[in-house]
Amino acid sequence: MRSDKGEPVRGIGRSVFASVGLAAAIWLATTGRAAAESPSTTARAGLDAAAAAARAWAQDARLVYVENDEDAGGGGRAARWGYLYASTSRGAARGYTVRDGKVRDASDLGFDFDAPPVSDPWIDSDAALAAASREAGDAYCLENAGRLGTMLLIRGAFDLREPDATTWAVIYTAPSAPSLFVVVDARSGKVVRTWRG
Amino acid sequence: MERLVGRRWAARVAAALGIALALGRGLGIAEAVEASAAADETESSAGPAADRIEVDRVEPSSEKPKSLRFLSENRVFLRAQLDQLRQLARRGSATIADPLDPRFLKYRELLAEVRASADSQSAADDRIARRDLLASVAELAEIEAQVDSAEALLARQGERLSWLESDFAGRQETALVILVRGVPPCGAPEAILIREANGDDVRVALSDAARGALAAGGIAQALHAFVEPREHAYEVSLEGGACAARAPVTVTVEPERDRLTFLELDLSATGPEAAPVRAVAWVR
Repeated sequence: MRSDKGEPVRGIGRSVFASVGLAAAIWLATTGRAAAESPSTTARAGLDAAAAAARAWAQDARLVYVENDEDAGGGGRAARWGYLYASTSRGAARGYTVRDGKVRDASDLGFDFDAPPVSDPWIDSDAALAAASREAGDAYCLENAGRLGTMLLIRGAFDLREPDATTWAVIYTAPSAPSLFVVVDARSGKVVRTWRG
Repeated sequence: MERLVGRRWAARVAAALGIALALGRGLGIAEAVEASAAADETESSAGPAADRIEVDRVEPSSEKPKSLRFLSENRVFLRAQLDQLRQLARRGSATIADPLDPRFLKYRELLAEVRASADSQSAADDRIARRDLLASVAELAEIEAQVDSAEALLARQGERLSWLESDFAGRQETALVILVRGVPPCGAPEAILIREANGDDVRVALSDAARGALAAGGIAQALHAFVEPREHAYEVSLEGGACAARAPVTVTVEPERDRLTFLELDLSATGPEAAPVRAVAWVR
C-alpha cells in the first residue's frame, strides 16, 4: 500500500495499531492501580504498624490520641489515620500517620499535649460512627446538609459522668449551622453526650 | 457525578494515548526495554538477598501528608476539656489497679525456684564437705545420690534458662544496623554523622582500630538501634581532615517491621567531589 505520493504507508499503519494497543494497556493498568490504591480502613487496622513504630521510638510509648487524617465518611473508614503516642522517658509526644498498613510519616508534636493513655479495649471507628449517626448524626446531616468532619479517640476529655473514660468524639459540620459533637463511650459503644458548638 | 467520571475517563484515555504515541515513535520502546534489561542485570549481580540502595546528593523532596489536623488546630479546646476533667479522673482512678503482666508473676516464680535450688545445693555442699568423715559404703552411696540430685537441679535450671531465652528471643523488634566499609580518597574519616529530619542525630567516632580495620578492607559498625518501620532518609556526612569538605549524601532505606535490617555504606566508592555513593541493604 502506498500514499498519494507513492510512499509506502505500511509503517504508519503498524505504528498506529501499536500505539492504540499500548494506550489500551496503559489505561487498563492505571485504572486498576487507581482502584487498588489506598483502601479505606478502620482506625484499629493501622494500630499495629503505629505501635511498632512507637516502640522503636520509646519503649514506654503509650497511645494517647487517634484521629482520621483523611475523610472517614465511608462508614468510619479512612484511607489514612493519625496516631499520637506519648513517652514519659522522652518527655515528648510523636505522631504517626498510617496508610495501607504502613507508617507513611512520623513527626514530633510541636506543642505540649498532656493527655492520658487511652484505655483498651475501645470500639473501632466504624462502630463508633454507626452509633453516632444513629443517635444524632444522620438527622443533623439531613437537616443542615452536613457531613462528617472528624473522628477522634481520646481519654478523659468529653465524658462528664465518667471523666476517666476513653471516648470517641464524632464531629459533624455543616456550612450554615454550628458543628455537632457526638461523644461515644469507647468501651460500651453508647452515645453519652451530644452538643452543638 | 457522571460528568466527573466521564472527564476522568477522557483524561486517562488522552494521557495513555499521548504516552503511547510518544513511545510508538520508535526509539523510546527500544530504550525502555534495554533499560529494563540493564536493571535486571544489575539486580541479579547484587545477589538475591541484598538490595542496592539509591544514594542522593540532595535529600529527596516529598510533600509530607498532614496529620492530626484537628488536634493541631483545636489544641486549646482539647487541653481545656482535659483540664476540666483531670481532677475528677485522678480521684476516680486512684482506687483502680492495672492488671499485672503475667510474665512478671512468672519471673517471680522462677526466682523463687532458683533460690530453692540454691538452698538445696548449699545443703548438699555441706554434706559433701563432710564426706572425708564418711567411711562406709552406704555413705558413699548417699554422696552419689546427692550428685544425682545436683544434676537434676542443673537440668531444671537449664529448662528455666531456655524458657527465658525463648521469651526474649521471640520478641524481635524492628532494628537497623549501619555498617561502613572502605576508605574514601580523602582518607579515613574521624567520625560519621548520621542525621534524619524529625529524628535523633548520631555521631559515630571511628577509633584508630576501626580506621585501621577499614583500611585493611574490614567493616565497622556505625549504628545499631531500634527504628521505626517506615521509610527513613538518612543524611550521611564524614567528619575529619579533607573529608569534612564533602557534601553530605542522603540514603533512603525502609527497614522491615520486626526484622533486623542491615545497611552497608561503601566509603571507597567516593569521587573527588562527592561523599559515599554506594549502599546495599539486606534483611535478616
